[in-house]
Amino acid sequence: MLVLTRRRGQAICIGDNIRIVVTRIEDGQVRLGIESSDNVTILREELLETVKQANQSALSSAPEAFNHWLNQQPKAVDDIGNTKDKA
Amino acid sequence: MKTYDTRFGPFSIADEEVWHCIAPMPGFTDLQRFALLHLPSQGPFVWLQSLDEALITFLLVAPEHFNIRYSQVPHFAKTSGVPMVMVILPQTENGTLQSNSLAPLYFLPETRQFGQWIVEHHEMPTEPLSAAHLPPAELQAQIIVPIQDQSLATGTA
Repeated sequence: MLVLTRRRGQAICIGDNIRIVVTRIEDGQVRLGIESSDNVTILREELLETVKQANQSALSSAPEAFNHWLNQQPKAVDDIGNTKDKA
Repeated sequence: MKTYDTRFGPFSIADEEVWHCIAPMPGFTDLQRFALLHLPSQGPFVWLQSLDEALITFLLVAPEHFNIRYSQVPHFAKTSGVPMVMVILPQTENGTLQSNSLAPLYFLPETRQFGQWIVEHHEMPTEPLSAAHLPPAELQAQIIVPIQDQSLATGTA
């Protein structure tokens, strides 16, 4: 891992299109400003892990399993409009 | 027209009907080509089928079915689009469907592109949102009808 020391207002660049600026250092926290092109996804690490896990959970929805669920609840397709988000 | 292996059996789809992922799904960032498949018996639900990995499918539905509304659009949306959410099947016999509401997918029919974006806030109105009994027509999901020899008859929703 590359480790750099920066002060408030100083920046680092990653490639030609990503620039990260230290905008504030306070109470053990660092506030960062990030400039990048639109096609770069920027997320807090813990949020990315949450989404990865949710995507994996959704992947388990095999067609056979969904048909099984539908067959157990004959009116499910009509009733789904009243289903509340549980995620 | 090319034939792909899918979770539903061999499926033929024209190049112009393939959906391209421009904002990759975390955990599945290598997958770029997909088809939207619809079984008429499954009402408003559609399957996002990977054309790169035959065993990878996601069940999708319009967010209104979970009483969710997204007021923002993702950064990659240059044209108007259609949000959809991934459905997570219950792990227990009497469980309910859940949605991956944190990370909806956004489809751009004009360019046949889509991506996943992460939202930290979404609206859940107290009054139930109206929800259609079919997938959004703009998505032009491919209708699949399993027939006896395990291959698939196709059409467009």
